Amino acid sequence: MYFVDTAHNSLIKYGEELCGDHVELVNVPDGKIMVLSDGLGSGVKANILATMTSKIAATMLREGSSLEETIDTIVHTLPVCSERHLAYSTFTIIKAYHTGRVYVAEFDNPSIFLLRDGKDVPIEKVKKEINGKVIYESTFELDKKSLLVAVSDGVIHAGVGHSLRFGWQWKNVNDYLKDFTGEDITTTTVASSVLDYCQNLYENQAGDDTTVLAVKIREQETINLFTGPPFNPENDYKVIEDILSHDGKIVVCGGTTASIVARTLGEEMEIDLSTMTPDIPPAGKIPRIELVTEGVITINKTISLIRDYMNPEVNRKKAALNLRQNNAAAMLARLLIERCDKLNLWVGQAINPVHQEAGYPMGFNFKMNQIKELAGLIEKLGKEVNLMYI
Amino acid sequence: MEIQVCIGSVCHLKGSYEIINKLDELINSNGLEDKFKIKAAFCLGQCVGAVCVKVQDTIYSVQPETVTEFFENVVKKQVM
Repeated sequence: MYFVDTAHNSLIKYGEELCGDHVELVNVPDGKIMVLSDGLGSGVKANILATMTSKIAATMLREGSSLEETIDTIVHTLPVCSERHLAYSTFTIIKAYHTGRVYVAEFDNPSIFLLRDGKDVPIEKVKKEINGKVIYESTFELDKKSLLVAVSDGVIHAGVGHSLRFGWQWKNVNDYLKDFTGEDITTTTVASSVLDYCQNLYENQAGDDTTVLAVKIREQETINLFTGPPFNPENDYKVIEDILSHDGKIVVCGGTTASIVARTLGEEMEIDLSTMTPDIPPAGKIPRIELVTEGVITINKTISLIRDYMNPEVNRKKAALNLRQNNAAAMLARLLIERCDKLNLWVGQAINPVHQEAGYPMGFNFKMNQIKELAGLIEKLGKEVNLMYI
Repeated sequence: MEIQVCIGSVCHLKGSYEIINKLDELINSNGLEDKFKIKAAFCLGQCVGAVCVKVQDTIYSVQPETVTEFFENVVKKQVM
């Protein structure tokens, strides 16, 4: 059983506010379904076409519909463009199983890239016609040294009209990707490296919406995030024993929670003042704990960092740069984005009376809603999330 | 001697960042850097009196406006 590690990101066509490409991810019990679609044109229309296509495909396939039914539905649902009298959106559907097996159906997007251990792997494709559309289907296996990448044509054409006459081109993209098959390279790195390269070729003025979706498999990495003291203080010791007995790394968010953990473990807590900023309290260190932070303020900031990271309308370089900063919120966001496949949220229900006083903006309800929001975001990143109230 | 400044949620909102920097400044300008070490601490358990500052097992309530006063009356007295 592997974890399917995926990441995707987009550049928006220069001058547009919305992205005309869309990637939809859904978790299914035996793996993940990903759909990358590129809507006709750019801006609002393209955005609607791409979003509808990928949402319909992902939802129907998740519910067990066949590829034929799905495509039929898409064809009959998409609104027809008033200028071009066409309803059109390309797509690449990828279903990756926990075993490493992958099924791909491609319609009019650039051909997928499959690389293993620094070399490309030929893919056998079967041609199929559904509703007059020519679809290429393929099935293959991934191992830990494999990398699968799907892109919209903005990647292949990167540089047209700027630095390159014919754009980056499929073959050159393929060569570029050969350096990214190493086991220690996350898909987030792959996606952002490719987009950075495109951004340079386009000289920061992307001529088309440009999207990258990267897929790898690896052993599952679990994070246990413990925030808030347990409702019943008598349970402190038991709860921490329980968390420690779970697989994976432990992250503690919350001053009081951290003190309880340090005390239970019989360890000293150190605070790293170099990570302190005016907005975010510094991170701490307790042996055996991956990361220690303050609670409500840090998590709030982490949520906004992850939200920016996921939103193609936010400047990508800025969002990436913010994630690299040396502060507790960025450290937590990085862990959750890059080194977490499964997130167990251990949410303590104790109420700090001072937090409930009038004038304090972040009371108990705020905390609970914030955790739900974090859980929702991490799920959207394609990870498994379990919420446990203690 | 250690001076612990709480950086828990409530204390942070009430100005721990400013207090840590101001205390550091005061200690240096008074040439006491050999005598005191500022450390941050997570929740000292006295959120009502935020910002909590602990010196020799006593917890004081300090605000950014009262740092200088706290330095003169409490911190300096430790070494006089």
